[in-house]
Amino acid sequence: MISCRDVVNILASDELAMTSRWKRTEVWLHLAMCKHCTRFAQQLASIRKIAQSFMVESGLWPVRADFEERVLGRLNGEG
Amino acid sequence: MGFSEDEAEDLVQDVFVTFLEKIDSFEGRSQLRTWLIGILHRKAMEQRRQQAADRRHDSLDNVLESRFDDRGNWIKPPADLARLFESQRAGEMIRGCMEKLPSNQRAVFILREIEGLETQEICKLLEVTVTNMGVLIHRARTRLRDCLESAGKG
Repeated sequence: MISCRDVVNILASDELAMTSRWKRTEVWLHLAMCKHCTRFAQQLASIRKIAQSFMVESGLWPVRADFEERVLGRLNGEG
Repeated sequence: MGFSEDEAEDLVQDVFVTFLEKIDSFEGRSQLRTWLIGILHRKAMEQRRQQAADRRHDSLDNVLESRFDDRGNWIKPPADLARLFESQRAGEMIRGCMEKLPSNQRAVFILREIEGLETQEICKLLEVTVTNMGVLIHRARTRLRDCLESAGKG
């Protein structure tokens, strides 16, 4: 039986997609039964969503199309 | 050699990359097999040193580890952060926590979570192995989560 520690490590290190089908099933079954690991998984998803929203709202992402041009311009002392 | 399957694959890939880079310097004084084993040995030692350094420099692993008992069950489960995530300042708080991340962890987090790049693309861009990338994203996410948990208490 897979432990909470194993589930947390698999989820946090992005190993789920790379792991075997059996292991993935074990993780899903574990998540269906364990509220703490489910909370951990939901928090990782929330962090991703909030970080994305924040970057978009503050204009930091997506990177503007002329980004490369502007960096090169700065390096060449233009502007 | 005491490596996981993924680490062993990364190691073999590293050996072949080095082999292709250094093939011109192979003078044929030893068998090709011996030469490849020499490269493998050096790469394995490098990886071991890197893993030891990672363990020394990142106390976070111990912090996370202390949340579980010997059987791997939660002793200190994750706090409820729902209210914090719904608040207006959640974005600012995540930004503040992101700024505290070591640069390589921050880079992996942004490429993965914001840019949505695939593992292989990130590894290529940052010149890290799949195993290292896994360690970096794990630490970035765990640090951010812990940072938010601490901020939520304050």
